[in-house]
Amino acid sequence: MKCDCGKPAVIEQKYSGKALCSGCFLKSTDNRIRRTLKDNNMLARGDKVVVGHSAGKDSTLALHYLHRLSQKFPIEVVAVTVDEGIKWYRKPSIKVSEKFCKERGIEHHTVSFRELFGFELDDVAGRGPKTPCAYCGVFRRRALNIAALDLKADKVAIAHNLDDEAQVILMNYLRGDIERSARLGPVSKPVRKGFVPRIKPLRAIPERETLAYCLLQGLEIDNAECPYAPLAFRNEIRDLLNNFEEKYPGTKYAIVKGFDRLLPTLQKVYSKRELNACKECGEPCSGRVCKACDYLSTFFQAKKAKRTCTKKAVTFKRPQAKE
Amino acid sequence: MKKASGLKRFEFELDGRRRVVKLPAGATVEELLKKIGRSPETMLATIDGRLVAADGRLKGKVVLYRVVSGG
Repeated sequence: MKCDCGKPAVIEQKYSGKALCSGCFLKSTDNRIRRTLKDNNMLARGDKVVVGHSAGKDSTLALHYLHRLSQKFPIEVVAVTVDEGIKWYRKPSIKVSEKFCKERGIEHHTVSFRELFGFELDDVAGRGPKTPCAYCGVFRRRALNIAALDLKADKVAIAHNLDDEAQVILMNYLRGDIERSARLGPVSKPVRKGFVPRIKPLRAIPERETLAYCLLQGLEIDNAECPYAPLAFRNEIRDLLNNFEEKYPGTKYAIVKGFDRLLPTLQKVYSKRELNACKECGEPCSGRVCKACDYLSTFFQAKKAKRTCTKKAVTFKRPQAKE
Repeated sequence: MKKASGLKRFEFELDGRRRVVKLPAGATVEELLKKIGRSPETMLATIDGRLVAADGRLKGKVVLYRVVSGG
C-alpha cells in the first residue's frame, strides 16, 4: 500500500479509505486534534491546563500535543498522575510519567487514592456489587478535579479518544441513562462552583491511531493493561464496537457524530435540572449524597470523600525548573 | 521421504514474549494476525522497529502491540 504522496503506507484507515505514510499520518493526527480544540473552543489564552497523565498511549499523546502547543500558544500545561493503588500496574507507569515530564520540563504531580480518600483500589476490589472500574472511575475523576482546583487550573484535559466516546455513548444508551449522555460531549461545562471544566482533545482520534502516533514519534509509554479492565462492562462494548468497525468501517465515527447532532437537544431538555450539593462533601450531585461518598460510606470504613483545600496536607511535588 | 509443507517458521514478539508460528513464505502482517486469532483493529506491528501496515511482509524483527484500553 502506498500513501497518496507516494511513500510506503504505515497505517490503513479503512473508515476514510486512506493509507498513510508516517509523515502524512502524524500531520493528519495533529490537524484533527487542532480542529477538535478549535471547533469546540476548548482552550483560551492564558489557560492553565491539568492533563491527566497515566503514561498510557492516549494521555501521553494528549500531553505531548498540549506541551508542544504551549510553546507556541499562551497556555500552561501541568501533568497529574492519579495513583489508584493498583499494585504492579500503577507504580511502573508513574515512573514512566515522571521521566516523560522531566525530559520535557513539564511540571508533574502525583495524587493518590490513599492520600485523598483513605483507600487503595486493590483493597476494595471485589468488596461491593460493582466492578472495580465503577469505583475507580468515580474516584479518579474526583482526584483529578481536586488536583485541578488545588493547582488553580482552568481546564482538565482528559485523553478520551474516539473509541472511548463511542463506547460511553453506547453504554449510556444500553443502560437507558439518557440524562448522563446529556453531560457528555467534547467539553463539560461547569455545573457549579468547584468543578473544573473538562476537555477532550483526542475525541476524533481512534484508539489504534493514538498508539500508532506514539510508536511513530518514539514516545515512551506504558502499554500495560489494567488488570481490572477485563471485568468492566465497557470491555464488552469495546469488543462489540471493534467487531462492528472491522465489518463496517466508520461505525465509531458515525456513533459519535450522530450523538453530537443530538447533544444540543439533550442538553436543552436536561439543563433545567438543578444539581445539588452533596450533604457529605459539598460536591455537585444529582441526589442527596454524591457517588464517591455513597461508595465510601457503604463499602469501606466510613471515611468521607473530602475535597482538599489549601489547608489539607496533600503536598504536591515542587515544579521542576525549566531549562 | 519427508514431504515439504511449504510453510516457514516466523518468529515474533507479543507482550514481551517470543512466539513462533508457521506461515507460507512471503506472509504478511495481516496473515500473521489471522493465524494468532487477532484483529488488525486491535493490533499494530513493527518490523525492525518501524511501524508497518497490514500488508507488510514478515521480514526482520516483528513486534506486535496490542491496542489496550485505558490511555
